[in-house]
Amino acid sequence: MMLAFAARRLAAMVLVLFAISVLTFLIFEVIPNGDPALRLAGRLANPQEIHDVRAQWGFDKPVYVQYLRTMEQVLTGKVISYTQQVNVLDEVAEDLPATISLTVGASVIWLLMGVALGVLGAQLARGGPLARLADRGLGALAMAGISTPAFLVGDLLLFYLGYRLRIFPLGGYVPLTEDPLRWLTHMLLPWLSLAILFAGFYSRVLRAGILDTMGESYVRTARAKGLSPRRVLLAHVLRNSLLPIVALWGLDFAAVLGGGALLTETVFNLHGVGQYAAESIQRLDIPPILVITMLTAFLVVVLSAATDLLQAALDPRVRLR
Amino acid sequence: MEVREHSPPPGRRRHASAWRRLLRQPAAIVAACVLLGIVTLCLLAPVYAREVAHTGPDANHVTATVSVSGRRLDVVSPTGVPIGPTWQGRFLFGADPNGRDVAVRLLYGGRNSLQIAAIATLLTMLLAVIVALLAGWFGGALDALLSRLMDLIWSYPVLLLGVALGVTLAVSGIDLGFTTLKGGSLLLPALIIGVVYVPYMARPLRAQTIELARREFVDAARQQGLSGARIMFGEILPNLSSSVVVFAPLLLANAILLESGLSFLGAGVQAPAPSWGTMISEGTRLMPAAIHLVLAPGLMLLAAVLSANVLAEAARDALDPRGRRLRVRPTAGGLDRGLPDGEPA
Amino acid sequence: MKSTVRMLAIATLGFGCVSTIAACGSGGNNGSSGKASAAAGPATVVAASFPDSLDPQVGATTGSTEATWNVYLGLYTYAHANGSAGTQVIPALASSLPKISAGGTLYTITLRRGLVYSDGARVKASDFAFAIRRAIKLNWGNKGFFTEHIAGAEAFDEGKSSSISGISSDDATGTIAIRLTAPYGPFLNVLAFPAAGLVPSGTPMKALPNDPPPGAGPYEIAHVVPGRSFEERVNPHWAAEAIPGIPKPSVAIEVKVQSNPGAQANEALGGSADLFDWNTPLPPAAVQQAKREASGRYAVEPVAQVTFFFLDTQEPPFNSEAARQAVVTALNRPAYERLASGYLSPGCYFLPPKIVGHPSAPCPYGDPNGNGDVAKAKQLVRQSGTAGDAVAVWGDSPHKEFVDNFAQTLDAIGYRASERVISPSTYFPTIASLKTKAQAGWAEWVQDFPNPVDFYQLLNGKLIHPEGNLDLSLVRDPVLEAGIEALGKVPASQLSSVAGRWEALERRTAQKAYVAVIGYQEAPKLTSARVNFGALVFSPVYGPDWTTIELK
Repeated sequence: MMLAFAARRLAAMVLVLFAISVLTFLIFEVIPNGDPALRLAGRLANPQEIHDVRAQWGFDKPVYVQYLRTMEQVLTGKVISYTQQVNVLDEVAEDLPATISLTVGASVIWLLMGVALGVLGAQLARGGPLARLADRGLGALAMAGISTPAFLVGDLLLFYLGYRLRIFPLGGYVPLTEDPLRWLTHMLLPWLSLAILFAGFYSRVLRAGILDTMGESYVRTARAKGLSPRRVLLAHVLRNSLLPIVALWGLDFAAVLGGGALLTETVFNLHGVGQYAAESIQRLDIPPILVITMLTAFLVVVLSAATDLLQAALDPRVRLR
Repeated sequence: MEVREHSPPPGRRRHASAWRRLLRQPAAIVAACVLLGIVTLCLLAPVYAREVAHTGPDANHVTATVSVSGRRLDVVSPTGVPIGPTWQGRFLFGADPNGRDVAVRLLYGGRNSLQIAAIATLLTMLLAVIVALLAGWFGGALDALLSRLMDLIWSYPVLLLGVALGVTLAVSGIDLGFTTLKGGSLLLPALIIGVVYVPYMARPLRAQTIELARREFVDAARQQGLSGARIMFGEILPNLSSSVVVFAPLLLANAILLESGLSFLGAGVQAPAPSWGTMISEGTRLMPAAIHLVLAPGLMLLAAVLSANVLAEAARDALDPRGRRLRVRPTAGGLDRGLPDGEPA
Repeated sequence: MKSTVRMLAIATLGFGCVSTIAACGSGGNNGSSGKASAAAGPATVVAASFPDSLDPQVGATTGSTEATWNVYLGLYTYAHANGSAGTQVIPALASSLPKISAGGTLYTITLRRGLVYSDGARVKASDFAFAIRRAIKLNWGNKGFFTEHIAGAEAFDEGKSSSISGISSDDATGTIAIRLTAPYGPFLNVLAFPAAGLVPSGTPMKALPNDPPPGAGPYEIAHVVPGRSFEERVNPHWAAEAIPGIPKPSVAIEVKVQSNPGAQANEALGGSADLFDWNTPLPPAAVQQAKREASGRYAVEPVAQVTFFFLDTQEPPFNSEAARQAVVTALNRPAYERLASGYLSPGCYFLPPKIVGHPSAPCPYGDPNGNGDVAKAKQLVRQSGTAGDAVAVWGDSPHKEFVDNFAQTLDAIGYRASERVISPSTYFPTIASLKTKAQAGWAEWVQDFPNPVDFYQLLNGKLIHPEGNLDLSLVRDPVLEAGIEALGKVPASQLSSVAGRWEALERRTAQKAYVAVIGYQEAPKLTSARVNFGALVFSPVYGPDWTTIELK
């Protein structure tokens, strides 16, 4: 069953990646004024030079030939960007440390915050009137977190803690290997901006999950057997309610790692993969966009398969499809 | 009578009780009032511009002066710093670098943001219902095709897709065959956002359609010789309606967020038209000189999205109290997250 | 003649430029080869964007040339001096100014003796021809300056020849002879481009932005982190005595990119960076702070740049002279000055003030420091019969505010204006394509070298191309064309003798309102407190001169 599952997922993954690459290529192929030859040939090229560049880069070929050529370069790691004419994979590798720093730090924070707030909310919801009021307050906070775009949180944090109070640097990335302390001070605000978004969301999902599970018969049975409420919560309720959270966490982690946090990266100037993608889109530079889009999709597909496996391992009721 | 017991009654009683449940939640009422208030304010933008601010949304006043509590002040300083909130009719919330009235642009921008979000929401609902009904009812090859298409849009990083489409179409526009959207048209971001969120809604609706198609009342309708189209739209669609209603405010919230993200990155509403996202992006550029340019649209945006999200949760609780058939989750708006988040398998 | 619209790369937040690092300056002295620098160096320069290329034969923006002109010396360079003294061409690797034949087409140059590259290899006369070939092969943005003026360079470019027939050299004697296709006044300026900087023969014929080749200048480039940072160390083989007029650097340079203008300014103001990159204006908040807190280390320097809106003179409505006059009459130039946070001095003539030929006569359509006469302009528009026409105004995203303001002016005088704002990296190819049919739009021109003929490429009807068009207003004026043709031949040394004739062309351009000139950009010169501000030279051609950075 495992093997069949893996094979099916692999096939689906290849299919999705193929379709995404075609779609991306087409989006940028059909737009007028997007002719990369004009940009490559310099701003003052004569028709002959433009023609030369077109031939040299293969822009005179049919679209499918261009597509195959670009994909071949992507897969062999030789793909060159149009604007800066450097190897895209090298650039992505250069930007990855910043993005990994952002993803790992922020995802740990949002997971911990989400779980803590979720459990707390569920406990409060089953308490007295005062506790229920506190739960509503938590709910409102979580809702506000979900409703605030990352760039707004980032802007405000930067303004008040960076420009005004001068506690934090004004964006930028310092490699961990260069100076761990400055790495940390540079990462804290981006982590927070991104984590607020997800933490609110996770806490709501978890709270609802816990409350649902509490009502299940096996939990009632466990309680009837005289297990302490704490044991019940940890051993039975949390174990099940955390499953969807784990699945979510895997997908979100993958998406952010693949450059999904382009707003946060842009606001804090981390120059990670997402910011590279945003800049490349502005320049209508297809190769980096293609590579980063496929990277994101790849990570998402792989991690969603991984979380499915994990879920199956943790919960015998989940069947792999 | 047998049939009745197993099928959800497609009658009005359920909806009526849902309404009562919705109206019993004070949070929902407050949220609805806030949202309605914002919409009304934004619709009154021209009145505010004419009667209170005495200037249009695009009118530049870079070298003008304004009198604030008896003192004449530059609207924009010689070094380019715009005036902050004056708390009076003219430049209530200050000016932007072009000397435009932020309060006026806030309302006009809100009109644009909300209009885009509303159109996008309607578009998503329309497309999602059609996709769900077709895929769920006919199944087979059509289902496979549509489902794969949904998977594709789903796996495509939302914001990247939106920005990519927005940037490429912003100037050139798009020819849809029956009509041409010019670059800079508000319908462009609406179209992009509308399409991006279709799988998010179509997937759970499809599952629901499949489930409904197996129910007895559908069998009964089939035995009565009703056509497929009539069963789809006459029998199944009404039973999907509560899910559609739950989705609406949620989609609205996410559409506002995505619009602001696109506009922030320059891929949404095009100059000189304002939107909350473009206004925040202008304020960001001027940091730290004019935080009012970030705060004013930012708080409006937060109020609108928050009330839509609260409304969405209340609607879910009211229409689907046991949370069995449908578990819609609020998302972070596809903002800074590659996947719109729906029902994990 | 061909060139490139070189824009001051002004950073939009997050886009069009690359970024990193907020606080710096605490980085150690990573093996800089300079001697005295060990105590204090390196000096950090904080730039808004990464140079388009650090390969001298590729880089074409001000960000690149600022970094490369002290690394890749060519036969000639500019004097390291402030103001107009800094526009003088001086011999660099050449031992003296060239011997020019009577016809003005043959330049004979002798190389200095005993020159070596930063890797210790000997500089050879034949390396010059190699560098020119390399620039052409690598499609340097301004390669037209070589292919159109050096005999045989065009044939080499087209692949008809494997060498450039117009350049001959003798490695033994160090002589180089260059034959031109026709006399060309500013040819010495062409030889002073960093792209004509010598690199060893045999350097790969591909762009090396991340691992630039050795050069023969006072600095060498080291440790390039693409998009983020690079270092310039003192060239260990540099013998200052060898070339008079070029200072020996006292400190290594570390260039870091910070694309957030606010953060960039804060670093220079707060002292965590030593020099603010001149390519970005200080953001509004920082200007006030600089005046207040950094008065001894902040100045505003003129740049040979003109900011203008082009107007398509071939199509309605701006094929009507009255319509163009109306636009110029209505311009509120002080508004643009504020939009540029004060770094713009209003003017109506196309040539910036420091360039020969800038007229002293008053402007034909009102005081450039006035707020514009909308009522009169409205009347002119009505007279021209173009009232109610639709006009799409183009601009790049960093100048969105300019476009907003211009479109408002057009609306106010009776047109229906819309806006097309696109990313800076696609902007110039787009408006320079005749297919775009851009009716009006923001543009700027930064000099390639201090000579009016460089600016008048933009008003030369003979240079209208279907793609890469420079004459954005599509001006086809025989008077201008004849004037450019004749005055272009005048050698740089005799330029002042034809100042009057250039002024006549300038007055005609302003009178006909071919372009709506806004004014001339200025640049901030801002250092940290530990830099000797007075000693830092601001070159009128390349901006802050890194060889003159001294740390206290």
